Amino acid sequence: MSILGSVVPETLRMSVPYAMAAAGGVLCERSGVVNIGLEGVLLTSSFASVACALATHSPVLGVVAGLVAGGAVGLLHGVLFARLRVNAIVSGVAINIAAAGGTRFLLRGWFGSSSNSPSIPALVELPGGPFTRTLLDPLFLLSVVSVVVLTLVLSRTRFGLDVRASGEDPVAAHALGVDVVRTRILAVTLGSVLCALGGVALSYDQHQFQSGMSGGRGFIALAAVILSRWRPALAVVLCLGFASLDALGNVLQNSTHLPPDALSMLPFVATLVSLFFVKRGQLAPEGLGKHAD
Amino acid sequence: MPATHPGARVLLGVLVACIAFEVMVFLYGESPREMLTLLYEGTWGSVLGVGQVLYKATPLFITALAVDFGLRAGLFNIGTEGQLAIASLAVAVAGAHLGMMPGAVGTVILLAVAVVSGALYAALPALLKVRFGAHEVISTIMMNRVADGLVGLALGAGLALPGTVQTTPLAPQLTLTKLEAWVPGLSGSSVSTAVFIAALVGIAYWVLVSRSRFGREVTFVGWNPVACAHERIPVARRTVQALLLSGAIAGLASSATVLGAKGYFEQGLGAGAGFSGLAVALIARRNIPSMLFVALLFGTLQQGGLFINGHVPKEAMEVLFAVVIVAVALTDSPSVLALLTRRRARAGAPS
Amino acid sequence: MAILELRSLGKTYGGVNVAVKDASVAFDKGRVHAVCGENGAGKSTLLRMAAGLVLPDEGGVLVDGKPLAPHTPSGARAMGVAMVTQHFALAPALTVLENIALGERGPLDLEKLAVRVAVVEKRLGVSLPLSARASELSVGDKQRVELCRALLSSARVLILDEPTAILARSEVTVLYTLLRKIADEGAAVVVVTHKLDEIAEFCDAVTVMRRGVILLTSDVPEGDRASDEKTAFMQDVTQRIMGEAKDISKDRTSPEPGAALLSVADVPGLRGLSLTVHAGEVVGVAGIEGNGQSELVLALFRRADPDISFVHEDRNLMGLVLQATAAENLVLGDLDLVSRGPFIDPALLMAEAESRAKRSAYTQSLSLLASELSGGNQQKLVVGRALGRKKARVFVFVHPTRGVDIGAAREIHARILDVRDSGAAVLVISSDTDELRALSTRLVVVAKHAFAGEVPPDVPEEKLGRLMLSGEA
Repeated sequence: MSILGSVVPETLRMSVPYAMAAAGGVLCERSGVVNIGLEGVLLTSSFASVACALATHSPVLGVVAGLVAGGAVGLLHGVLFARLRVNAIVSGVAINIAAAGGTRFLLRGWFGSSSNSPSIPALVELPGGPFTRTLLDPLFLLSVVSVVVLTLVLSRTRFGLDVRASGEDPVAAHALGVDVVRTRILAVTLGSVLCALGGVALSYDQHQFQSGMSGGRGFIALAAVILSRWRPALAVVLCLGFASLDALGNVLQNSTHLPPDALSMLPFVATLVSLFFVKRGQLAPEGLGKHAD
Repeated sequence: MPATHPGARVLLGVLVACIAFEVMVFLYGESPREMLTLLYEGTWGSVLGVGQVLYKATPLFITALAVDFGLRAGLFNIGTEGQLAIASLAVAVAGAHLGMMPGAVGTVILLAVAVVSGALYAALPALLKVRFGAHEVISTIMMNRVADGLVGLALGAGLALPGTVQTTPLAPQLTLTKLEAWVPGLSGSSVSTAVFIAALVGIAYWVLVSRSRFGREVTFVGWNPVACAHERIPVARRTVQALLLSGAIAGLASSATVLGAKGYFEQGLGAGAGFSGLAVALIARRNIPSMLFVALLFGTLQQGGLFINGHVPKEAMEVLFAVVIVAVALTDSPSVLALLTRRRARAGAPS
Repeated sequence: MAILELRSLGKTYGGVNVAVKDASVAFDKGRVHAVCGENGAGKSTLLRMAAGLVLPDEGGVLVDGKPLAPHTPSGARAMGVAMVTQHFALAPALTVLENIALGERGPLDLEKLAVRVAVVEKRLGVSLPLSARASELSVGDKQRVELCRALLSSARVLILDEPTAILARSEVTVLYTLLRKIADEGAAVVVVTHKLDEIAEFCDAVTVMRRGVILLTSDVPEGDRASDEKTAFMQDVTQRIMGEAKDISKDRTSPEPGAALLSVADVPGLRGLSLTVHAGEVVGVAGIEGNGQSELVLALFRRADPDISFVHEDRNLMGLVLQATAAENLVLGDLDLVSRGPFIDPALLMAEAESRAKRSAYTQSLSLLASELSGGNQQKLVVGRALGRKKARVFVFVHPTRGVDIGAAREIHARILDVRDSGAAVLVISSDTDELRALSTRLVVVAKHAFAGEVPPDVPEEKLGRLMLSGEA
């Protein structure tokens, strides 16, 4: 098969965790909450979906469990920052540490392995080549739909307006009767559910949970959020770019003798390089990290 | 600004860690009492245990100081992990080339290598921050991942001994003396004179932040950069310098691992010390003695984790770290404080 | 008939700064009611409590006789109380229509809303750029957006915090015409202002505040502005606002001006200004804020001349490190003076801080944190630091007594005159014309980002006002 023929579907497949983490990140940050805990949400949801799928023998329940677990982590972050005024970075760091340690703890406790879980069944068995299988994957489709819905919600609905107002000017939003705290908690929770969809896709893609399987995608997604200047569609496009580097790395690793360490660094180096193109503070939600009073 | 007493924060941290530990152990189906006994025996219950706790706590204390200095300048240096990895590699490689050097001179040179390499690895995030406005949290996290790759690449490209992932061992006179040489009970422990280096770093750090002009200016810049700029303190320069120095201090943590414990570097040596140091700094909040105690607490949990590992996976300890971070951070939360004071006021009011 | 009633409201900030004390006042339907007083008199805090933005420590807010509950902005809006704050409640990145939509609850339907806005626009006789981002609007437009939003939510009490501080004279008349219309439709309109001519010309009632206390609430006499009754009334109001008048310069003669110490010309963003300040004189720069004053300060600051010492306008943002001690703030930026080598000498630091504290009559402990001090003492730190610069021969004060209690303001004024008498050149930039009159040897007026004229400090208020507003005497 041609390189292109494998890189393109591979890219689409691998972009789901990045893109959903970024979409979720946009929703969090547009409401004014910095969320470096996306990485932890990815891990938690990956693990929860696998654990539940194995426990119930139902892949669908696995998906649901992943989304719920991700949402729960988001709810925690939202309450800690918006309601209890804990520094968002501190809370995010704690979430990432807890997710990394907690998933490994449970992996060993439940599955007796420090590297990976047993295999889970596929969500659906799809016919056809890599292209059709990728495009028809329910999680992929759900992701596409979520991004479209997110864009519409942000621009067209009361909730979206409240989110943007809370993120742009929490003081004004509060003065006008927007419940900034509630809006933010809701936004972070829903954003984390979106991100969790990425985590679920990650484990269903690998048919198992692997220790540390999010591999920094949550952080890269956060960089994509910033580079996109907090626009969901552009963030997703940027994520496609990062995912293509992942895919390229995979393909090159199978076909060449380049050291895997060099290939695995690609998305991170690309992110660092892209940070040179961030215009200073431009167009960030002005109320990012600020409270209403 | 409501602030909780530093000692109270530490005590709360210990208390929360104990309670959370017992709850986790219980939920896991083991006996909380037995596990606590096991934890104690493996740590403070024996001379060897104490040595190992000290060994584990040493890099945590140093990286906590590193993170703390960043925080003073208003920077979240999440990159201590990568700065330490690169510095460790650099120290090991440099040390392998210093074979003939007399011990004391050689060790000082190697510490200098650690400082310089740690600082250099923080330079890119510093540049990105002041020149391009890129948030240091993102860039330092990326730098950690890149450091992982770089270390792997370097070891794979010939810096490691053929067929292994470790570098050429340093000549014995270049490494730090293990304390077992003086205290027989410590035999087998990795604790070394690096603990004294850490103590010196701690004292120097205290002088830096409370007595030196540079340290105070960095602190002022972290608190109010606009006012500092209006008073013609060079804000951007202080920010860059702070992040570089933070990286430099992080590099010094390699004294405990490469110079103290192993005498060489291998992939993963010292891994996690950066993140744990971050946790220590966030809990101790600018108070150096607190950093020491919290580093000891985390060292205890890490070391104790090894002892209970047969019953309860040691990763439980990382979850404890996170719980302690959040619990202590909550003591600064205005809503939590309001709740506490309101209750106290109500309790004190005549009925 | 009173719609809004405030009963014994009290508010203290940080346990130190009493903002409002035992304040009671009622606002009636169909009337435009002014609340006036100097900066820091507590006007804004009082009305922010009324609008649910600030929770009072004591007392209650009644709307139609019912207590305001919940005491939140949305609670207040639901009961018909809307406030237009000085910092407009407009999210800059959102469009005008979206910002208006924020004032409402329920499903978002921008098309329907636009139709309703059009009705209000017609009622008020204004036209708003609905699809423009709020950040692109002029100040007047922003204000009209806020008014529209308040009326859409059928507010019956409309509170405006210093609405005219940033308006040109022509716009002021337009605004009050709008407010009168709104009052005539049955609302109570409350305007915070410290401009006496507006009260005389446009308002039905006035409440005077000083140092957090309401001194007077009274109807404004009907009739012509020039009528004796009205003039007497306004004089009384003026006296109450001023309190123990801060005419400290009256009994001090200024020395003969000496050599020129500061020359300014070609300031970008301030056309036609050419200014020289001599030793032993205070030159005041008068003008409505935002008419080129910041450009002037910036141009001076960029010179990086050690001869020039500054007190910048916003002490919390530009002046102080609130978490540091008073002593450290006094030497902030001059740590080299109190250091030996790379280390700070605590004895030197205390000695220098003490000498600077004396310069501004700061008498609190030097080891207190700046955040623990009242506004007046905080300002003394900033002033003491500026005055304590040994090399400085030129002093630039921007709003030197803003948000400072009268006692501290007097003290600071006296120190400014001291430094003048010692042969320094002083430039004072302020929006408080009384302050400028009290301090200045001569006044330079700026308007519309241009030099408008130079006048003596005892220039008639009318003439100064015209100069500041239009640039024409």
